[in-house]
Amino acid sequence: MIKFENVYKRYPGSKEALANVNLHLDKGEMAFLTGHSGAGKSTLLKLITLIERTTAGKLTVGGNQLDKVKSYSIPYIRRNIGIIFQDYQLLLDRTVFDNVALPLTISGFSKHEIRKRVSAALDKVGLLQFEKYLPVQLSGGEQQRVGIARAVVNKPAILLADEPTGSLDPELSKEIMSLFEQFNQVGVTVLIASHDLALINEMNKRIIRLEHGKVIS
Amino acid sequence: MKTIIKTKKAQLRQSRPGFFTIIQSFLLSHWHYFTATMSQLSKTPVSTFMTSAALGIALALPAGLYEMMLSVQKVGNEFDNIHKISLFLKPDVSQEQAQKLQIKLKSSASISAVEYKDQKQALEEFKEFSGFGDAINALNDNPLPQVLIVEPSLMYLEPSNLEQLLVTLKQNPEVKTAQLDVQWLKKLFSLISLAKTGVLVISSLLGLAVLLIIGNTIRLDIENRRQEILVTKLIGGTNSFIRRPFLYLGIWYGLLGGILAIVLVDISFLIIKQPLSTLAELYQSDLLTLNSTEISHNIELLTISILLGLLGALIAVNQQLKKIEPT
Repeated sequence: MIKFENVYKRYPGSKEALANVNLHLDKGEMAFLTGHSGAGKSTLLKLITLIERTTAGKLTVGGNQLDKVKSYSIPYIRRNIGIIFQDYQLLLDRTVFDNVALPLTISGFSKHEIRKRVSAALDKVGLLQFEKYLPVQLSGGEQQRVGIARAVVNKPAILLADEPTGSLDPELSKEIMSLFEQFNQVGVTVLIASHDLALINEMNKRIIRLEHGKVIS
Repeated sequence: MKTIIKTKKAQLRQSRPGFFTIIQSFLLSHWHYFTATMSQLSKTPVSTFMTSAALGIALALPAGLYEMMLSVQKVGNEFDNIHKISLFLKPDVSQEQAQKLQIKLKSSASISAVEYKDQKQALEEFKEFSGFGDAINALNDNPLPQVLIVEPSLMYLEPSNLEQLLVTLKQNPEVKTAQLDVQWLKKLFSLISLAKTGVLVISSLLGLAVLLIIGNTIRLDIENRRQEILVTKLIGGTNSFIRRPFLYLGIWYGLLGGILAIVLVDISFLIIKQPLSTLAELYQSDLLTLNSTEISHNIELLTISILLGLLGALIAVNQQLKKIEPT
């Protein structure tokens, strides 16, 4: 599902952020990406979501070879990937419902279908009763669950999360992780960047360690 | 009905919406943004009004000048016969000779039509247009000669050609004088063309101002919604999806500015109307009037202002969207 082959990423005027990365995630696999700050976790995720382009090497995600993708097709490729951010990235002037509905609106689903899918996604993360609230009226953990609902509402094949529990306490973090596990159980490929080693060791999943832009295990 | 059910079922199976749904939601989304941007504008009435008023003023000036140009042209059309040459015949020329000359002139390539007026007709006309009717009634004899009114062919309408024609016509033995005020004609032509160019220049400049005002307003709005644009791009929003609300905003500004411009022009004409009609009375002309703008002109103005709004928004959005990319 996600395949890095000899991938390099160099930012202008600095040394390599990623060097010769080889990595393969199967369809339906769940893995954690870990390493120190600056090890290249975020860069790796940015390459998958096409926020950054590879400097060299071959990167295939969901059958698309990303190093060959033209910029006008980027939006369509991103629709197949659910992204979850550390700072949630919710639209603060819109209700929880509208936030979760955004990916469906973008893809052009009918109102009826949007209502159905958003309700299902909110129900899944346990926030159905908050659909009319604004994000600021919710706690951090709840806001992150809105972010997750938004990421999965489009039924993407891949779920990416960048430090999803970075600003949550351990209890809430566990809840969030078990949510990811549930999505993985229905066949979604999940890749989570996190440096919360205690938490990810508990999850008993594949752990990919990055150091100075290289995969070390 | 069956097919509808079928497509609905098919949609449920897919994780992507069907083609029909996409078209339908595309149209619905346009309607959504049309109304959403309207309510967005109505939430900030003061700034909306200020922007629209600036647009209205910028549009009202060329629109008003254009209407005035049309009125001046109407007055100009009244003097349609300025490019006609009047041949005043000698008093001893008989009616028969005059008509013979008329036929002779008609056959010339440089002349498209010749009208004959006997002394009676000439007098009647003179009474009607000169304003000296009463004075003429006091005369016993008709002092006016027979007249042939020569209309040159289209290609002879240039002032220099007309002068040439005039000389030729004078050489006919029956003709006493041939008259055409070419100097005056030249002046009028150049005045009208100067006015036209002036209106065009002012319109272009103010059209540019409208583009800039709308572009700048939209640019600020984009800047305010930077976060929203970033998130939308991250979850797969295409540029055209992101552009849509801003383009509708431009359309609304154009429409509001256009409506205000029409109101401003009509109010200004109402104010000018009274002094203008006094002036027209002095010249005994009923043509020198300014009416409120015609519906068709209003529609033209609205179309232009909406297009300017759309164009201004398009320029601003295309320029700004490139700068807003997730990092």
